[in-house]
Amino acid sequence: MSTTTAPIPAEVKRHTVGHHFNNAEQEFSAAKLGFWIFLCTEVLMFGGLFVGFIYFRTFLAETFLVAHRTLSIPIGTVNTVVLITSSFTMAMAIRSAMVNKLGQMKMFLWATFLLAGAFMAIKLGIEWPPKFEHGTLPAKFFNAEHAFEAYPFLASVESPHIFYSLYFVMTGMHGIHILIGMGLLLWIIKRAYAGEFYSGFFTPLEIFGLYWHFVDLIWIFLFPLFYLVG
Amino acid sequence: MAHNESHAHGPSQELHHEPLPTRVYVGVFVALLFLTFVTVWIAGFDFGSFNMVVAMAVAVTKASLVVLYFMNLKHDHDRLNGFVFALGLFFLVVFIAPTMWDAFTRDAVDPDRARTVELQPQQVPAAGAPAQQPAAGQPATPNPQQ
Amino acid sequence: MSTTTATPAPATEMDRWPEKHYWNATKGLKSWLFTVDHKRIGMMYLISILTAFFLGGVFAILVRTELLTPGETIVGAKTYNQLFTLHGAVMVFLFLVPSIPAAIGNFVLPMQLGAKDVAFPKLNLLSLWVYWLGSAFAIYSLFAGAVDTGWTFYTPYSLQTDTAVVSMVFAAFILGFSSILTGLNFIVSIHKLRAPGMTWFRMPLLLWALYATSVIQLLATPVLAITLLLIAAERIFGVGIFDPALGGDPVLYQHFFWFYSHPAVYIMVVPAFGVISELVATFTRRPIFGYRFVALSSLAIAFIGFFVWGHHMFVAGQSEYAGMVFSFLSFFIAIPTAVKIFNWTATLFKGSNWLASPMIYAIIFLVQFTIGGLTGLFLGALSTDVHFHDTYFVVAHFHYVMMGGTVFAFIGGLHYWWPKMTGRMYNEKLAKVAALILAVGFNMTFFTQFILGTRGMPRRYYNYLPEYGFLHGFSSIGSYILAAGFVLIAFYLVQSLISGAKAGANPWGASTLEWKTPSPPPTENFPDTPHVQTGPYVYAEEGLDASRRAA
Repeated sequence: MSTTTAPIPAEVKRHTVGHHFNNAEQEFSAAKLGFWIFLCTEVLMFGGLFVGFIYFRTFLAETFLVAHRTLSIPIGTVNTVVLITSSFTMAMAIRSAMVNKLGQMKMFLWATFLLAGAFMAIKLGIEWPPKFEHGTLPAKFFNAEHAFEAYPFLASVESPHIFYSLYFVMTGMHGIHILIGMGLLLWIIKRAYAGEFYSGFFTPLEIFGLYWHFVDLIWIFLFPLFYLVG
Repeated sequence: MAHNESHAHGPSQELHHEPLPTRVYVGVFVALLFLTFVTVWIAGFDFGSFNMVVAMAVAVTKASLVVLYFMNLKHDHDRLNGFVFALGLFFLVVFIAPTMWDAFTRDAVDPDRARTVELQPQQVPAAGAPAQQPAAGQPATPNPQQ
Repeated sequence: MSTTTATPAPATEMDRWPEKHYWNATKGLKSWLFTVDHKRIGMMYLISILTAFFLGGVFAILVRTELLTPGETIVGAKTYNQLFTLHGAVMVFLFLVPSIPAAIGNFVLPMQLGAKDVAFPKLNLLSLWVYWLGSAFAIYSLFAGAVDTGWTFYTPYSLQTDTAVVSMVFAAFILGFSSILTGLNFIVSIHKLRAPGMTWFRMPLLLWALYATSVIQLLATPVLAITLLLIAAERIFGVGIFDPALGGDPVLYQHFFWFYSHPAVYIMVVPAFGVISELVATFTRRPIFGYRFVALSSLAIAFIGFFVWGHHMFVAGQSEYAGMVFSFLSFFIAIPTAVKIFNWTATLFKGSNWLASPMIYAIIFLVQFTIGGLTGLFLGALSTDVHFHDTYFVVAHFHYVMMGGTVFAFIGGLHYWWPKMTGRMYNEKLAKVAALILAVGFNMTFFTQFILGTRGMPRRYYNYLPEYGFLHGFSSIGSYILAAGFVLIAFYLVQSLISGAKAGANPWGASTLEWKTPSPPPTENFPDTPHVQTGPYVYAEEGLDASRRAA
């Protein structure tokens, strides 16, 4: 596929730079720097949760090895594929804007949104309900009777509820970020339909893309740590 | 030069970036899918304590692809962005390492220190239930001189 | 001793009271609440944090009044616990963390850069709204049962107490975002918006300090955010990570908490260092001695500050080996800090020293912060900390650095930039009297507490043996004197708004860019973009207008 930029469509809103910036390049690189700095804060926030995970994975190793078998690897894999694909469609959306293929851009944006929705639907609709049924929940709500009935091997390890506490807090926090992302994406799509994005200005797309890829990154680590390592 | 005049539509008001070819994005996407299947497949084998190492190696590879290509760090003119991200990771390690080291060495000097004390199984009191008060009116005792 | 007289007839065009400036550029409440002008945002922050300081101060006076006599004086144990918790939480989260960066930094930073605004003006406004939202949650928790855990929210008590822990941690969580947004804005502004010719080593030292502070804010605050969320999650969902009854580890909580809260104390004090650099340069009329060292020492403090958090946990159950390493590393912070103190002192030597009120605050800072910093060494040393931990020695130490340091620097900075922000001069004589009252009151209150600490008086106790009665009484009287000093400051600052002399562009004869524009400044800061050709502290040969320094 050629990378030639198409001419700027007529209906697009031509961009003017903020009064405190000298030119578009400075504005764009300031926005990116600002967002990478924000991603740094996200690294440390999620990182804190990973510290908790590492701590209990180390000292309750047996429990984690056993309890992780109660998670569904097929569902986790499907969700991983869904999220990776949404990262791809987002990257393509930005690329389309950069070459002025605006119809394609909107299509990829919608695809990203739908894939995000699919991720949440699979998680909340298919993956979590059995956990509530079996009582494999964070400590306060952990129902030992139901849980041990469904998964007898859980009865033999120490503090299985800690595993589920971490699971729900970490995937829950991740899920909240997906939902926030979906909200932001709707706003971006609205602006896209208003003709704001084209080869001369696509900064919000770039910034949202960084956010979205980061959310994907977190999942790239959550998936093996919770579902696979045993 | 005064800067409060309104800017005309000029080249400096708009961006002029060349995107990466589509095949790069498709290639990275396919690689990510492939690595996902690899990591699931490999989880079926038992490498003992290397399980974690292998899984993390694949995860780090996938993450690198996302960061370098999808997030464009590889072609970013501003090297500061990559540095910033690396700095965040560095300080995460600064957080993890001493915390874990402390946990590991708690019983190094006094073995009793790391022992979990057996508690009576306790209901977490519901919000609103009176909490245990520290004994009221406890006089402060000066530290013993010895 | 020199005094200032009212500003003489305008020396330059710039000294004339401007017709249009940022106060009157647009009118109406909405134009303020929805502004993107960093100066308006800075002023609104100033009012907000001063209100928070007043609130925290009220709690402090109540605490000290309870401690006037042994036994119950005005409140019982649980209420006392709530009072000192609220004093701490309000002072740390609503006042100290934002204070200099948000109130002074927002106003001054873009101007010192020679820029029209910060990099992300709308994010700046968002950070103010977020600050108000977080404060609202904090005020709400006051009425919903307050909190009695200490501002440190240690588990497992914070998981069990029936007070409004969730809303208070939520307040602090939200306030953290305000802090992050400010820090982010400052870093990008410094990287991208410096005026032509302003290289990194031509930046004023306040900017270096704010940069270092912002780095800390961005790296540390997220860990606090997740810690607070986990407390809330533990209380609501019983997650169990920090609760020993559920298989968790309370020392792990302390690692999480102090990984933020130790760097946080540098968030609170490093901007103060920046202010002191500006004051010392202006009022000695010299470049700061060892400019590069002072600039880089802010970064060094920021960096080292991340490696020492375990010195708050020596007796918490942390391993002895970790304790030894944290203790060893803690001593290193003294080095860049001492670099600053020595360099400021060297600047004073044979400087053209003018003891104007801001300078008086700077000098008092040098004494008080040194005391606070040195006593930190006793606490950083593992062997002595075992005896001092949780005594009044700790309380005295951190009040010397936070209040004797940061608050005094903040007040000094407020006085220094007051003419620029408001266009008015305050009553210099009253200002000097107030500084004296504050110094007397502060040291009476807190030096006494070092002695209380070495005699074993524990902190966070509302009751004590009669033997401590005199010292506690003395300390409490000191706190009333301190309060009187603040009331006096409030009085003459408000008075200046009504009837203060017009300040002119540069009443102090300072050299940084914000003084090269009228007071109050126009919305766009500078009519033309400044072009910088020298370092920040270059003073004209002719010297300051003599009539401004008439003895």
